[in-house]
Amino acid sequence: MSKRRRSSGGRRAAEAKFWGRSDPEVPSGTEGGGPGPAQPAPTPIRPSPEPSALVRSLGPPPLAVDPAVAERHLAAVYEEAVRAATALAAANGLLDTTAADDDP
Amino acid sequence: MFEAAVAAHAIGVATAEEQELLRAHPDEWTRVLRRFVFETDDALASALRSSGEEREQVVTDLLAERERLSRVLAERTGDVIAGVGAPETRSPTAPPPSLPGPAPERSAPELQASWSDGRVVVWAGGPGAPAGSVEDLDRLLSRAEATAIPWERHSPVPLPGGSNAEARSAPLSQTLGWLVGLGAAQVPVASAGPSVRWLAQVAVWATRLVAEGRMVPVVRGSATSSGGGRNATSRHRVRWVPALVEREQLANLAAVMPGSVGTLQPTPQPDALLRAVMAATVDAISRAGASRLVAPAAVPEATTRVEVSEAILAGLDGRAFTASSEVAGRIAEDLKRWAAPVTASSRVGIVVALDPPADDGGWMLSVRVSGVDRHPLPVEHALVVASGAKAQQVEAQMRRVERLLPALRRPSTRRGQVVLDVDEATELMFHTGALLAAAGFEVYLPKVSRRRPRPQLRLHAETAGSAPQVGINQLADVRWSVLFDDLELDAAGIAALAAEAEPLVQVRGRWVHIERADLVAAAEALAERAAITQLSGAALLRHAVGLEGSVLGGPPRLDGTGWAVDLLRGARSSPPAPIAQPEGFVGELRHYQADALGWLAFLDRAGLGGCLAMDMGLGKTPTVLAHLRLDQGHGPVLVVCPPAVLGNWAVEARRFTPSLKVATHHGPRRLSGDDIVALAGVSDVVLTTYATAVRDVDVLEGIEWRRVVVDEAQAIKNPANETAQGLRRLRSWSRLALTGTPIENGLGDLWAILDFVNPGLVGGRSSFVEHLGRVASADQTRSSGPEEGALQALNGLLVFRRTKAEPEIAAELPDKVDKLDHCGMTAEQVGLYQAVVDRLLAQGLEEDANQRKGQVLAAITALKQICDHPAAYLADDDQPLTGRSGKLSRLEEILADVFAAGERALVFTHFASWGEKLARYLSGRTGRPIHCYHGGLARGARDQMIEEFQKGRGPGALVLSIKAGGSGLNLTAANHVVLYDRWWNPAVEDQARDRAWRIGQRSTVVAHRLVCPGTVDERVEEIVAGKRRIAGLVLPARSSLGDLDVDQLRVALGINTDEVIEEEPGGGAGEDTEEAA
Repeated sequence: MSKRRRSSGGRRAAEAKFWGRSDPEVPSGTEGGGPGPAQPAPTPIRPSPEPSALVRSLGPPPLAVDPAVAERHLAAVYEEAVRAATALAAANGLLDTTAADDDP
Repeated sequence: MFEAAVAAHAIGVATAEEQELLRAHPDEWTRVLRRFVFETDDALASALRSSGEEREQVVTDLLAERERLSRVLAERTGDVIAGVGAPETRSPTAPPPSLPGPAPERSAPELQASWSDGRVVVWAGGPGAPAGSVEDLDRLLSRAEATAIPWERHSPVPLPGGSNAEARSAPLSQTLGWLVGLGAAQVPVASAGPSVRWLAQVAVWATRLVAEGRMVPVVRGSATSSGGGRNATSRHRVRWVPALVEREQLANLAAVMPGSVGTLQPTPQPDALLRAVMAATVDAISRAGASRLVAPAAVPEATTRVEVSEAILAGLDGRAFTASSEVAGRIAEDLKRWAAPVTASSRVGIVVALDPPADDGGWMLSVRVSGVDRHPLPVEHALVVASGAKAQQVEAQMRRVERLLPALRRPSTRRGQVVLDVDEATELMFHTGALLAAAGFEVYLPKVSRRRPRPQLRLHAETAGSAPQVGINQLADVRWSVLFDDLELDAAGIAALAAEAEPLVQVRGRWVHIERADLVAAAEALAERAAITQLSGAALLRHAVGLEGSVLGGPPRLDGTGWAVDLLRGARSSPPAPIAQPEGFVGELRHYQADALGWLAFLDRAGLGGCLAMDMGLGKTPTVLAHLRLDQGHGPVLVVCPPAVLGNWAVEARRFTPSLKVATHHGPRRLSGDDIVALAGVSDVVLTTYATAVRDVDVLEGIEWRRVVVDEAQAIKNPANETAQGLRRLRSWSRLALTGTPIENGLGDLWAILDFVNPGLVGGRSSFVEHLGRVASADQTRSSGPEEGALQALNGLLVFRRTKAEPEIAAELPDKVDKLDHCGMTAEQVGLYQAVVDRLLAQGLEEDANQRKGQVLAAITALKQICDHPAAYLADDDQPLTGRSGKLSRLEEILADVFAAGERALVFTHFASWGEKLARYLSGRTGRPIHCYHGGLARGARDQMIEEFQKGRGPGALVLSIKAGGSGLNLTAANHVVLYDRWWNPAVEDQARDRAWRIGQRSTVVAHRLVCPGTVDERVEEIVAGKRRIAGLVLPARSSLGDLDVDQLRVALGINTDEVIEEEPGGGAGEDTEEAA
């Protein structure tokens, strides 16, 4: 970092960076302070129709148990985890309730 | 100092003095800015070449600083200095520079949050604000709706400038719902500082990852262990970490992390901190889900690989377990490698695409690899281009997709390319595709529709070239096919599809799976009709409404050209325009009456007869009168109706269509022979009764009627009886039937009516009943029963059906309708009546006015009883009641209509003893328990009677003595009131009617007043109507019947035979003596 500006300007920059930007309308990295998160509207969440798809694509886990048993139990856990996340999203109005792309 | 001013301005914190200084030296300002940019570039280049833990943070800071400087420079000069290694460019449209205003003052503390070892630490503070106290913090937590979280005291948070803010903290799991709510703006964000909002964004992102199944389990062990060497054990837990995290989104969110989030970290690095928060959130949500399951059993201390594996499965909810450090460590590494394809930072992606079938019917499935070159590459090409770690990543992703899509492992000329058959393609499009997308692959498949298309038979008709006939006899060439939505298939097409294991067709750009059972049914339907190549208009119509059978769930769709096609198109797709203000009609038609009038005009254009099946009380008579008025001048119309409504037709014609010349042909002094013909010649409408029409049919059939209208058409429901047979002899250009109950006893009634108005059109009775019954039953959308369903199947074509149950119609109806029914008198009644009058006049009148008045009133009472029924007058009468009273016949007709509509009626009479006889009689006739409510009953019995009536559902009636039941009772279960006999005081009658018409009544109340014309009944009507002229006598003011002399009494009380309606023997029109065939 350039040492020439490690004076009041650098201290102010550090402070601005510490606090972040309060005004969500001002884009980050511009005048008025250090970087801060803008507050875009969150994209609606669409729960997976196949909760265990990703773990199935990895194949049986490297555990010394019957692979079918392991896969079954893992699939059940994924179902419940997705359900928990879906409930959290639904409670906060984040669920994507639009119909899937299909016949009108 | 000048350089400091330039730096301060670049980050927006320049004071007014510094801004003044810069404005005073613009050239120097630009030079310093340029130098700063180049120095930052030098520093950036050096940082990029370095390594170490802080490298990423340094690079991020330098990039941000460079961006700020470059922007200000571009604003001042229009120059854009490209990044390290890129040429300088000048923006031709750079706006002139302008100094920003001073940075805004912010002094109020905001709610802030920092991260510390899995806990969210909240405190109050902000730029320019003093460090927040506990009170400030509590206030802000309250405003942010976070008081339900069990915050604990935390050590104060050090702030820039040396102060400390009071703090509280809670485990992430306890704050998750609140953070996600903040991120979703469901919780007030106004008082939340950037750090809280940043954490909220991370929480939302983590929730999305878990909802999409993008997490994997890993095993973490504690650093401390017990025992030693190979027997060392330690505590372990399963943790869930995010998978398939978008790199760009990660970098962007890390770049905007406020420093306050990591202020409690020893060496805060945004990227690492973001990953830690993200992982903790994903772990918390996943463990919450896993904890809902019953965990399998595991040993308390796992030492072998099997035991540790079982402990891991049992511990997916995050509970700690004790295990051999060595064994657990190895399994943890194995799990890490197992999950690496989805957790390691990699740009390699897989794109799966399925092409529509080629000419040979094969579906090409191809897999490409993204992230190796600028564009996705075929797998083999990607494996050549990629090297080292990247090639391994490609292999790992390919193995993943091949596990979910085993067809890719088939021997093929190229890896990642395979031709699928239609069954495999169907499986991929309808099932596996979703699985691949959920596993994080990019998937491109032809569009599908999951809606099952229902087959429908299609009947295409073209007028036969030489067909001379029109209308129902017009011949048409026909062709049969089956429609699956928009896709038309003939027999050959269906056979070809049926040969496939998974029939798949394309409809409106989407692939649709057709059920094999539907194909079989369609093939059978076409085979049955293969020999039918020509049909008449009548047959086409029957097919279209389902009277020739319903196949594939309904009648066929008729299209093409010709009379039948045009007729159906006109009736169904563009209903006839309503006629709201018909010429010559005095009054205003309700909207459904205007619709009915439009339909009547449509029938005339089509050359068809029809059945106007509007509920009783909806105004069929004025509607038909309006139609007759519009058609005036084309010949006489014969209206055939029961005697009770004959007078009503005449009255309503005078009222609504006064320009129609209406004549009545009925009674012993009616015309005969050529005089009837002459009457028809000078009349627009001739009114007659069923019995009269049958008696004079020999003359009537010789007249060319424009139209024959049969009112209360249920009278001809038995096609074999004399009435129906006689009326069929009448010749007319068209026929119309009016009835509120077209299906009293079943679909056979409807057939009789429709066959009368359109002979031969609807086919035989048996097939009509069978096929229309199926059409009606197949319509699952109607809850009103198969009969109503049958009417709706024909509604708008041969039938115009409207009921009071339709909300639009109910809203338009008045709350109450008063109808005056003129009832006939039998010869027995006339004889008794005359005898009473003669006796009164013969015995002489009392001298005393009061006694004379009593004499007269007693006679009036007797006369009213006779008008009711001879049995009401003759105390010891034990003869059957049937057929001895016009009022009783009319009452039975009214109750038949009421019961057919499923409604309930009250029948009021002044004579309690007659009421009891009436109730017993009606119970026997209708088969329903009908009681008589009168003052002689005990209180309990009366209350129970009322309660039973009010609670009853479906058809029902109650007879009441008007004195006992005329006031105070709530009988809103009924919406029909029949005033069987009249009294002088209209208020008493209104009170009786108001037993039903009151608060709680949801239907229109129809009040029927039964009157025998030409008798004292009618005189009561005149008194009730407020007239002082009784039977032509003008009564002086304040006079009463007691003041009349003998001659006046003879006029006032005597029977006017010209006005009496002769009651036909046998109980009136419609009385069946034979069962329908």
